[in-house]
Amino acid sequence: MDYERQRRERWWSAFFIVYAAGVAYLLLQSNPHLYSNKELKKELLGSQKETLKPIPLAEKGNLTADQKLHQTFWWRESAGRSGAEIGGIPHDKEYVVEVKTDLPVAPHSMPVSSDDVGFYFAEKGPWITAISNEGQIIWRYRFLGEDTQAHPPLITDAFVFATASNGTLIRLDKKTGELHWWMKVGERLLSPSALVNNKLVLIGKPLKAEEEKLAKETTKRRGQKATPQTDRVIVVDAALGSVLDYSEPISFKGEAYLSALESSEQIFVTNDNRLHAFDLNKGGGVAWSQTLPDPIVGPAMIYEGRLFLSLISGKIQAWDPAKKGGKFEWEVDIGKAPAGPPVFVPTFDRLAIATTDGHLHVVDVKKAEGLWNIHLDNRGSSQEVLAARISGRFIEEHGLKWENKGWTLWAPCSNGRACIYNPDKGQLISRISLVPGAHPFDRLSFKDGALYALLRQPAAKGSDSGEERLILARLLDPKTLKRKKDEAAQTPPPAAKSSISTAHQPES
Amino acid sequence: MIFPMEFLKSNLWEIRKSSSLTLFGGLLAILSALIFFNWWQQGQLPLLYHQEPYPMCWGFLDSCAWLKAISPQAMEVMFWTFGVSSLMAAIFFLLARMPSLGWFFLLVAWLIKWPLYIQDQRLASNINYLITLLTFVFLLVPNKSKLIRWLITGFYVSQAFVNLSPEWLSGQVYAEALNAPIKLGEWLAAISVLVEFLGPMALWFRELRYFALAWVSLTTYHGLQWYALGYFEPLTLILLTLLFPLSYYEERKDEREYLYRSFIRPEPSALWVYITMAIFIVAQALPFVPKEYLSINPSIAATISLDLEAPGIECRQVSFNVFEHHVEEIEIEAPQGRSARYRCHPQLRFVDLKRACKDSESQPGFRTIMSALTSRELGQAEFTPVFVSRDLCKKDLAYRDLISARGENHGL
Repeated sequence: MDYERQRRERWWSAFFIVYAAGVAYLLLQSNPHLYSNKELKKELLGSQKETLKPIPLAEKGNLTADQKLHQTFWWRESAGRSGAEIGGIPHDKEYVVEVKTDLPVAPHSMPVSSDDVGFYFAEKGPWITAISNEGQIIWRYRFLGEDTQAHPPLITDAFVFATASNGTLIRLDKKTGELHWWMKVGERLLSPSALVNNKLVLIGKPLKAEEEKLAKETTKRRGQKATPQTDRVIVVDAALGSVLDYSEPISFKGEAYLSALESSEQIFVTNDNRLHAFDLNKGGGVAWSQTLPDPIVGPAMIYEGRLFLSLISGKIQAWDPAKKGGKFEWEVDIGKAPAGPPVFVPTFDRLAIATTDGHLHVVDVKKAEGLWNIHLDNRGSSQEVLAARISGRFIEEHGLKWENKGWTLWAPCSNGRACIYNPDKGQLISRISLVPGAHPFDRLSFKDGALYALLRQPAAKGSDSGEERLILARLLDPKTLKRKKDEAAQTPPPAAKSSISTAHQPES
Repeated sequence: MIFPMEFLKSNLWEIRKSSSLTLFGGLLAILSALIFFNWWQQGQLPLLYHQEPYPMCWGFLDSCAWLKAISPQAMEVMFWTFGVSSLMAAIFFLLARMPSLGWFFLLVAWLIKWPLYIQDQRLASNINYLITLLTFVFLLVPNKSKLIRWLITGFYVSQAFVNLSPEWLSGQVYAEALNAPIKLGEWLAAISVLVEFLGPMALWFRELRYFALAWVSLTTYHGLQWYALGYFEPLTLILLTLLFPLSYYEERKDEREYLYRSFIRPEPSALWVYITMAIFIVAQALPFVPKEYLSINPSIAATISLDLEAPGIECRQVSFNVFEHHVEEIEIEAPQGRSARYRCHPQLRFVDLKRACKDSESQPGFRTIMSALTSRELGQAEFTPVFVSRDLCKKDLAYRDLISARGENHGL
């Protein structure tokens, strides 16, 4: 018995030794950094990627990789920010207010995007709102955080892309406001997005965990120490929502503005007195940067492959971005601080610039010289100028040349009016009375033959709230308005319907 | 009727003839009472959970709403009966030396514990799992001494395997508890895994010096754990491992005195040990089997195996209140006092969302809540979706439906 017990004990000891060796091996395999200075947790965290993909919240069919997205915009929201109405549909020159509505909410800043369905804008605070052409709320979306500021949204045929200062990017259904996907892109988004060939371009600071990794990659790429805590251009696939690339790090001071040249997939960012060019074909790498003598007002305006900038000193500059390092071409001094970037007037090859003293200046692009300026007597805060076509029947009446195809300048003027000018010498063609007492328009949009104007009405003396109101006015040309009134007089009124559509239908 | 009675009698005989088992029965009863005390100390936890409208159901149950049919008063009676029965069992085992009565009260305590335990998964823990299993084996399975010791050994080894995960080996549990550098935490975590693997196996040495070394090492380790992490689990394991020296002493005594073997009641078969240990080992191995080869419900597999109790999972959740005409992103806050272990538990997140539904119901135009939860373990590179739902306030939506629908949600 004793011998048996001893034999069993020896076998047990042998087994225990082998077992102990196996345990030690397992332990060292599970934590290979046990005997080094490295920490296991840090090493594992270093291999983790931040979530750069969206969290889908809609039905499967809404996420399509091959769907080509076309940005819907009016004037300034085009990638090139030209201020000229793309499509160039001729309009009437006289309009009368058919109906005006006090808007229940107000945009925090321009631009306000609009299309046939309505207007889309960011309110002061974390809200994005869609308003119908009748001035009623269609849907709203609220980002998280009281201190979060939503940026003006970007709209396409079917979607709304919206960003906020807390680094969130979302995609919504344009008609219903249904949330398709949500993602955290960075820790701070500085500007609203631009859409270039299905790529959403944003400016912001990447997520913290991504920062070190990006710094290492930049050091490898450029052979110098990457500056920490900096901003970048962030490129996102607009169809799928995944982050495609980050640019080189840049430090931005204050506001930064995006413009894009779609044909070559170049992005231009203006920030203070710096102009940066990024190439989306090369992973968002910096193509070139230029430091200008004075701060730049608003985004760079791009037309026919050239860049036009307004500097705060009153200089208007032209650049050729295709040349290496960006080639400065010419400069015109208009003598007064511009209120925004220039507007390009097609066929005339001229630029129109509104200045902060209420004047409208026109510059010839080919001759690189100032042509004329007029006083708009604009008593409002907005200096938005647009280039749009008027109907051919007015061309001869106002001495316009046929080859210019009716292109005119539309600018806010005097007391609650929009004025139409001949870009040739600044002759007044028409004056449209919008809303008396209101500041001239923040926004003009043409839809289905009607002209829509967003205007700010100062608070009336003795009013309770003391707040400025935002008004949406719909104007029709006199003939159409008369016809509508006659039809209305003959037809009995239909039964009242609710015009507010449902924003979201939960699954049954 | 005769067979079960004979079976029970042979179980009782096994306990009566062994002083180590009688003492161990008392220890099990003390541990049962300790569980009762632990629950009582935390505000009568089972009763607290019973009052909540949205319990955290065990994964293998379709629904635990049927448990709400038990009235709060009945639950309270059961709770106190559990405590009193445990105390009575301890008294009869240890002081009155009446193992049969002790056995009876321990059985009552064990049975009464089930409706309290099973109503909410937050009451579960690895140590509770062990106590429940050992109590069952002690009460009803022959060859108790050897089997219980092997189960305790198996528990340690399984726990050590589970703790080979990055969450435990990163040392963050010890570093946070002792306010120590993370590298020291790593070493302590590694030592604890080593002790859990080797200590209980070394308790099977016959030679006294090796046995004593193993037992003292284990006890010292638990003492350090008590200092760092709290009393409950270390105290439980110290008391359970007392069976080893008690049985060691008893076995040596039996060998010296050549005790009379009863032929009326033969020694229990060793087969009980092999079968029970085989079941236990298979249960612990189930979580490591790839899902495509697993033929049983994964929730059942998770229930019958040990959990990793170190926090380390990172999660991200985004939620939205959906109204008639607008959508708002919201933050769902977890109740105060939730332990780090459950911070990212999807079922608890689901319970929080259901609670948020109830709170938001009264808001004008409110329709539902949408939410998506993603999580990532320490060793994983990317977040993976846990659940996405566009209508969480649907009345008949259960947690199981959410998880089973995960495959249909368009993934990342």
